[in-house]
Amino acid sequence: MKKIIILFITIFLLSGCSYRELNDLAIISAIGIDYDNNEFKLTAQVMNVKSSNSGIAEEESLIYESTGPTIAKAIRNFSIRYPKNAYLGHLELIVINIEAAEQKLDEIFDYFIRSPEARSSSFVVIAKEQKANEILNPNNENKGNFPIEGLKTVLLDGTKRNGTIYDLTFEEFLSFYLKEGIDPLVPLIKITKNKGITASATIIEEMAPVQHNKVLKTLNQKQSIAYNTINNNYYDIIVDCKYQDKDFAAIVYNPKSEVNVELKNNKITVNIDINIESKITEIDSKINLTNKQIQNSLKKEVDKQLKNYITSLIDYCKENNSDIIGIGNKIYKNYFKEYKKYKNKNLYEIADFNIKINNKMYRYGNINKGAA
Amino acid sequence: MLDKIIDNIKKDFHNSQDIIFRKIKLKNNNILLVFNNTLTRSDNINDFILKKLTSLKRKITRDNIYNHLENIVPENILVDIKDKEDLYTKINSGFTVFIFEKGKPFAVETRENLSRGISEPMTEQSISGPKDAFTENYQTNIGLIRKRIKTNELVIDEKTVGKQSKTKVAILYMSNIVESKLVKEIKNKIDKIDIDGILDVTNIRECIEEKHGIFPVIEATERPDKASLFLLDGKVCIMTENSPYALVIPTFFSDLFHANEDNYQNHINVTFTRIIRYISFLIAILLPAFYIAITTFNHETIPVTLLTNFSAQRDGVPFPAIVEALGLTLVFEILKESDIRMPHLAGSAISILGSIVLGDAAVTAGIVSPITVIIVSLSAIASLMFSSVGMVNAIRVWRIIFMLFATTAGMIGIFLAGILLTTSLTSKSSFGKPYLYPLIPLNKKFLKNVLFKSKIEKDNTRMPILTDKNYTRSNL
Repeated sequence: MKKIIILFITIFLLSGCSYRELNDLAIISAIGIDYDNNEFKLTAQVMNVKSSNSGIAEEESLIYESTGPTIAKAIRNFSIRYPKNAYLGHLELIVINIEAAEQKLDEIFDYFIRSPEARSSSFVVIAKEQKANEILNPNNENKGNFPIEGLKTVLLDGTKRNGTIYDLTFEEFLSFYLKEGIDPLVPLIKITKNKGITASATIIEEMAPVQHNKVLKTLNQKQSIAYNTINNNYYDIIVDCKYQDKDFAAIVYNPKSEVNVELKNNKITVNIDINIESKITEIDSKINLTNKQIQNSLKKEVDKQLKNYITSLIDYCKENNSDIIGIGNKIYKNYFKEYKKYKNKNLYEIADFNIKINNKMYRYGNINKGAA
Repeated sequence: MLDKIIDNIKKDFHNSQDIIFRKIKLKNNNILLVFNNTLTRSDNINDFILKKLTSLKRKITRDNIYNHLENIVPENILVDIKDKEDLYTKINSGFTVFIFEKGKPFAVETRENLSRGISEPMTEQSISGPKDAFTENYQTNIGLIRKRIKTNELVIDEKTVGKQSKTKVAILYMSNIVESKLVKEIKNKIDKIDIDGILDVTNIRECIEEKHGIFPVIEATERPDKASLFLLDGKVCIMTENSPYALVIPTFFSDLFHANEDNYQNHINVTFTRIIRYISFLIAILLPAFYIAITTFNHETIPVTLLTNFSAQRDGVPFPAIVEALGLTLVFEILKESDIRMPHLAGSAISILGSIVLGDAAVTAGIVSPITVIIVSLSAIASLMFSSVGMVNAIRVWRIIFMLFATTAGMIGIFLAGILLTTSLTSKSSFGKPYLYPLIPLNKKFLKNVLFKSKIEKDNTRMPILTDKNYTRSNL
């Protein structure tokens, strides 16, 4: 009996979370954060599920809006205007407006890591051209069906199969942001208004690095692919190349790349070793693919193209003084004593880059000659 | 003089009409036969006794009749009557008592076979394996075991328990396997029983159980093959008159997970079925609690699509999840109980009413959510997978305990209830043998054997906890 009493007491001591019935929750799947006139404006997409007579759940989403001087207060303010409790445990997407990101990023981070409920594996995107509110609620109605599931697929596909963006989760964003000597790349979201709200109208295809209080210039596609190759982010992507002025496409997959930084006599050498596998997937030329020499030159073209991409990325970093690759971070880790010297310098101007590409191209498709 | 005896007996039996007195006259000698006509076979008395008596050539004396009957009716037992008490017991056991004007009375067994024949097991059915079950007949039951274990090492110790009922209790064990300490302990416990009547072997169980927990520490089986198998393991069986069950001592927790089929099927298939049994045990105990925890506290533990699905189903339901779940559990228990009590002919009406009318209508009316119906019925069905009634009832109690803990603290509550269950199971013992053996204390070989069935040639030793001699089971 004593044991049972002790157990019951511990239950009440240990249980922190409050009892909430499932049907009292407003499950927020996406939240948009704007910052205007010293106030946060939150736009939340709430899953509103109702059982219909046929027994099948009808899903539609509602838009909740609220404002407040802090995020916490703004989230509480939801319950003043709407009947259910805001619940962030299944948050899938955080849309941060560029102004909010430049002015209040620290505060946003603080709320989301401090809150026990908010899910930290939700994706983060930045709205550069529009307000977050406009993206989640473009028609300015209370109802909407913002394509959250579709957007998740777009993010994953863009990362794994196109290499043009990176599906940054909140956790990763925070960890990049807090790391010394590396700038996180955040995908950008925009909406083409006249097409209505469908997945095709909402576009996520670019990324931009975020520095403290500043969102930098957008990367182009080549630079994004270079970034994802260096960081081994994708499964397989298509790289367009040219061979004797004719187009051909290669699937590049299974990247295993390494970046090593050496610091000797105040000279920084960055070795970028790219290990990839590739195969030809489309060719616009009547050449004999069984020929070893042609195979070799095709391979070299792919290598050249990738090298181009990486050089372009390095140029971008040089121009914008942004450390996307994380050279500063490598120096911080390996040569901590000398890091102070380089902390505020543009490392890409002083460093030497050795790019080595080790490409294993071993498949040329089922037909030997090009069809053209 | 005989009339006086008749009057005395009649008086002691309070004029019960089933006591028959028959005076016969053999060569001028009066003999009184007393028997109970509900317990005896009258043709037995006529054919074997009265007819034989007329063929007696010698002088009619008590001893001559006794010897004569002993020689010519070898099937029936003849016993001397010691006193009045013994006389009445014999009459009530289906004996015919001979009372003479001169000489001590004696009794001849003329018992009527009052039990039904051997039938198929009702509660422990199986697809393969023997299909006979114990009956209410004591001799038949012991015979069914003797038939399987034809050795003189199978010992049957008999005791009489019950001040009024005087029930025969048999303690069966293999003398060359069993731990003698265990037998001694069981006998001591049975000797200590001081009770009016033992009507079923389960009464004995209640009297000798050390702690009255919820999970059964002494199992009852109605299958002679199962009982024989346990005897060969070194366990002890207890049987009583008028009971179609045998108690098995000690019973381990793992035994409750084993069905009769297990001994007669391919070991890989049995292993697979056992895994399903473990899963269904967890489902039966945890599922409603888990559902309550995730819908009221730990919403973040399930994927969002499932959460929205649950949320849609709970939409408009007036009760909190725990009330819903407890209510449905109650309804299920009512259905189950009434289905057991109802005559078989009306049974189908209950299942139609229960399943279609109650379940479907309650969901359509919006009183309960369909998911709760699914959860509660799934866990109830999972618990019915076990043939032991004690196990099913224990699961029911623990399911409710888990549900209450889940309502107060969600997942943490479930873990706390889990600790409670583990402590209660580990602290249990069955006649000094740890209940969770071979898990606690750990015996890897037997743990593997118990969790997953091993090949018969690998299962060649007996559990050392059950025997202190004769460890080897086979030399395959």
